[in-house]
Amino acid sequence: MDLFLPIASYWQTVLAPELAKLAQPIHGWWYTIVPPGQLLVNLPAVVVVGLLVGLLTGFFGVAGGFLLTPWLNLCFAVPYNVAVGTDLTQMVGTATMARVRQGGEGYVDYTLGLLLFGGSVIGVELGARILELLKYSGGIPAGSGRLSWLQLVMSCIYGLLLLWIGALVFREARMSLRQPGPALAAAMGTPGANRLRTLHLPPFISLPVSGVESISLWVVLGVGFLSGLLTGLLGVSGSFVRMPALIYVLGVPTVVSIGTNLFELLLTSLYGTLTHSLKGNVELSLVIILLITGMVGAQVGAALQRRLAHPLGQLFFACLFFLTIILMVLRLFW
Amino acid sequence: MSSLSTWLATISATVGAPGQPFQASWSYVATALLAPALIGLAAALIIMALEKIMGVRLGGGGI
Repeated sequence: MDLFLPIASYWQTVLAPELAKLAQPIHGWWYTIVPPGQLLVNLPAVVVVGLLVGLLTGFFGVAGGFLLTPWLNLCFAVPYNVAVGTDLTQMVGTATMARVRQGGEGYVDYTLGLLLFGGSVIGVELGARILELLKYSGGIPAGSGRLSWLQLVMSCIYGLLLLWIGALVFREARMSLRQPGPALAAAMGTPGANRLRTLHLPPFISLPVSGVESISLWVVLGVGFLSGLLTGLLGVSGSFVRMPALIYVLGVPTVVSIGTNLFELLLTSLYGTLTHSLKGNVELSLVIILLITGMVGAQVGAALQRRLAHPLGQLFFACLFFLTIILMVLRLFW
Repeated sequence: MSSLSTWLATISATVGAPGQPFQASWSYVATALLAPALIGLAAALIIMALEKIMGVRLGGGGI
C-alpha cells in the first residue's frame, strides 16, 4: 500500500532534475520513484517509523525526535527540507497536546516566553533561509550521479548532532551501569553558564515570575535565537538547549522552566510551520500520520518505561544513533 | 483515506507558474497550521478523559 508524497516529489525533481526523465522506476528501502519523478512511500513502513519514534520518545523522555528527520530521509528518500518542515509541523500537535494537558498545573513566565520567542523568530527564519539557500545551490558530481549540497550539508550537520547526543546517552548509560541510581546533570551548571548570567550588556530586565532580578536582555534573546536556529534548520524542538539554558544560565526555577519552555515551543513551532509551509517544505499527509502514530507510540513507550527501564536500554538507544550515522554515511556514497 | 490524501495532494501543489519557485496556496498553509493543532487538541482531550476514567496519570508528553 503506497502513499504519494506530492511535496517531496516536487523537491526531488528540483534537487535531482534527472529524476523527471526517468525511464524505469527506482526502488529503495520503503519507497519507489516512478516516472516522472513521483515519490511513493510504503504506508505501513511510515506507520511503523512513526510508532517507533513515538515509542523511543515516550520511553526515554527526550531525543527520539532527533531520529525522525534523518530516518525520513534514509528510509523514504524524503528530501531534507521536507523532512525538517514535516518534523517541525507535527511538533505543533505534540506541543498543543502537552500544553493542553499541562493546563493550569504549569507555571508559565509569559514575559520570558515572549522574549525568548522574539529571539526564536529570528533563529527559525535564519534556519529556514539556510535550507532555502541549500535547496537552490545545486550539487556536486558523486559516483555515477550527483549529490545535492542540501543532502551533503544536512547529512553532515545531522551526523555530528546524532554523534554528540549518542555519545551523551552512551556516557549516561555507562555511568548508570557502574553506579546505579539517578544520574545527576551537575556538569550543566558550568562557570560558562554563570558568566553568561552575569553578562554586563545593557539593557537589563527583571523577570519577577521566574525570580530573576536582573539579566541582560541579549542573553534571553540569544537563548531564543540559538534554539530557534536549531528548530528552523533541523526541525528539532530545541528544548535540549532551551531547558538547560533556562535553568542554569537564566536561573529560572525548574517548574517555571518546564511551563515556559512548552509555551515558547508552541509559539516557535507555529511560526516555524508558517515559514516552512510558505516555502513548500511541509508534507501534510506525513504530518498527520506521523503525529497520530507518534502519539500512540509515546503512550506505549511511557507505559513500557515504567516496567522495563534499565541502563542497557539506554545503550541500545545510543547504538540506534550510531547506526543511523553509519547508514547516513553509506547513503551519501551509495 | 483516499479522498483525504487526494485533497492533501491537490492543495500541496505549487500555485506558481512552471519553472518558478514554489508558491504555496493559502489552504496548504492553513492546513499545515491547523491540522496538527487540532489533532494535538483532540489527543489531549482523549488522554485527559482516559486519565479521568481510569484514575491514572498517563505519560507520553515528551517533545
